[in-house]
Amino acid sequence: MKVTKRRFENRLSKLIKLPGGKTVQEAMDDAESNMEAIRDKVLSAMDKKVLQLLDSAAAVTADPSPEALTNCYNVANEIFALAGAFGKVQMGEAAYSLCELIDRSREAGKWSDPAFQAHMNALRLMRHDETEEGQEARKVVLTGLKSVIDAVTGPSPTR
Amino acid sequence: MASAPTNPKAKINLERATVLLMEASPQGMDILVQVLNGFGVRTPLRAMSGASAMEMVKSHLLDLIIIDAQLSDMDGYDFVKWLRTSKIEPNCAAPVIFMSGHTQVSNVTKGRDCGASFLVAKPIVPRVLLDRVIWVARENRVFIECQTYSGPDRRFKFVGPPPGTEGRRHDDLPLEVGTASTPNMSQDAIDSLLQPQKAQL
Repeated sequence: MKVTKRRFENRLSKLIKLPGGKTVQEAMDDAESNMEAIRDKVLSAMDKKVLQLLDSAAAVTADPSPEALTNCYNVANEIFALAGAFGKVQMGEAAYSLCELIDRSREAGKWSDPAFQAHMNALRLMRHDETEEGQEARKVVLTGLKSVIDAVTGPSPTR
Repeated sequence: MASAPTNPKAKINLERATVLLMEASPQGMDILVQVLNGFGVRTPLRAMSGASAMEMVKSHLLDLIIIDAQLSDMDGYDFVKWLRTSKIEPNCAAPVIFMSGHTQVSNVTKGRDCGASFLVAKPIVPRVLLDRVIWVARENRVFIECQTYSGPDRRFKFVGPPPGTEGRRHDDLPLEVGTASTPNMSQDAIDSLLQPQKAQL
């Protein structure tokens, strides 16, 4: 097999060293404060996506279509990314777990509606209860979701 | 892939960098734009679909591409493969940071094999993303083109060819270092290669 090696100029490496700019610390601080400015808007959009996911759950039955699963997977993946960016870690973990369930179920060629419904209930819980007191209970729920996925699809490959 | 820790007092200048952001979710795009603006990038180019990003690759000189695995009309892996084999120079070799939410091992392998320079797991954390931007700005990997792969050299650890193989590149060296076949070099010969300079104290 013919392999060609070429070296291109990395323009970014020249630009990043130009005089001016800001320190790494300033760049991180500015990025974080810019993110804070859109926090409410993004979290409100995320909440709509959670509702959309809960609504679309009706289309997921004992034998769901690949399209319905892909739709749920995509929305859950988006919720995971948005929740995590703004510190909604447990909501993010519940959404991630749903992605994991769908992905591993596809690979295993198995589907469990009760496992899916358990995830929907977990998302409802995360949405309604964000209290400090409920944190431990939510942790237990998230651990339970992992066991549910393992029970449906077999032991997990590590994340 | 560990990068050297970045000194918080080090200066960076991204004001003149042309950065293309590709993300299908409007909120995900908002986050990326805010973070990149914070880093000092003036006006990042934005594309929510592969088709519009392809137009931008053809019409702009790009210094960095940050792309999500899911686009509205194609997946990010296919876009990076298209870019790397597009022969649109120098953009085809531009640094690409690939973002992925639900990160399965198979996705990481897929990201590496499509030609991405670096993979970042979502959610976006400014510190992590900046570290990766600085990492791709520092790197100088050769660009490999062959039948099955186009992109930055995936062998960045310099551990030699895969175990049990002799390697398929003409400059692959065996892992075992054999007995010296020529006499040791004299200090003068070494100095002539290294061009030592007098220390100025």
